[in-house]
Amino acid sequence: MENLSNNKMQFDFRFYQTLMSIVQWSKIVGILGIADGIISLMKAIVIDKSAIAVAVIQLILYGVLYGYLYWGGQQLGKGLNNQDPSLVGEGFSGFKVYMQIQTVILMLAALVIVLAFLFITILTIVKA
Amino acid sequence: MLSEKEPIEVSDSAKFHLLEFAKWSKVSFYLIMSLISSAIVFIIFGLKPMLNVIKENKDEMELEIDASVLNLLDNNSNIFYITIIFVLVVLGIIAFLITRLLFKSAKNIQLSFKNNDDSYLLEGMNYLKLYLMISAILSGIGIFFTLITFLIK
Repeated sequence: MENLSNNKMQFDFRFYQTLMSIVQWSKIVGILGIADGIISLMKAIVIDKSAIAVAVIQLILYGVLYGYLYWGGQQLGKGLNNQDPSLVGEGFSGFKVYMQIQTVILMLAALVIVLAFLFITILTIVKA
Repeated sequence: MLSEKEPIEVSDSAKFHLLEFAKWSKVSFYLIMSLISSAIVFIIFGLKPMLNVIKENKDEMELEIDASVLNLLDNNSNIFYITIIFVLVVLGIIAFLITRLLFKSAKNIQLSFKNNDDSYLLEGMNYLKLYLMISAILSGIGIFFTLITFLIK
């Protein structure tokens, strides 16, 4: 943190346009992500009831993931409009948490692939 | 007017969160790349044996397999595998191009702190904007197709 204090940075007029676009697009991605989770759950309820459990887990994960992205965008927008540096910081913390959760989800997906590989290898050895 | 707004000092906590965001973005990029490559390896080497095992043991496993899947299992021709590998490779290239924007954003954010130069930060923010924009468009397309299949059924 000491090193960061030495680094004098400010968001001037050059940044505003880009940051406001980030605010808008992060909110849109957030809403679409949550909507995707809800539609998947509805689809599972109506078409395939056996997929409800997976759809609920997906909705929870998407809700948290995209919820943070939406919240981050909202706080950043408020910070820029009210010229409040602490709200801008909160906005970036939302983006950070979004990326952390995405990383965890990707790690889980990688784990599933590794387990599938193991399953096939074991099955092939057993069958041989 | 946005250009008439006063500049905002970037607080230490905002700088910290930005740097952390950049760090996790890079981790995410590397994970996506390793995931895509392992998925391709899995499809090339693992799909055929897996389908064969399922085909031979579908009665023992008591699996409720769809008729179309059963048909594919019975006629597991090379065209089927080549199509899957081709689709996966194309999707992998698209995912690489999109997540590369995130990686470039992270790299520029880190460079701006390293060199104390906010022009890198601006470039990083522009890449982040592009990444979010393309993500929104793709998830919009995804939702559209999900809704279409949902409504048809």
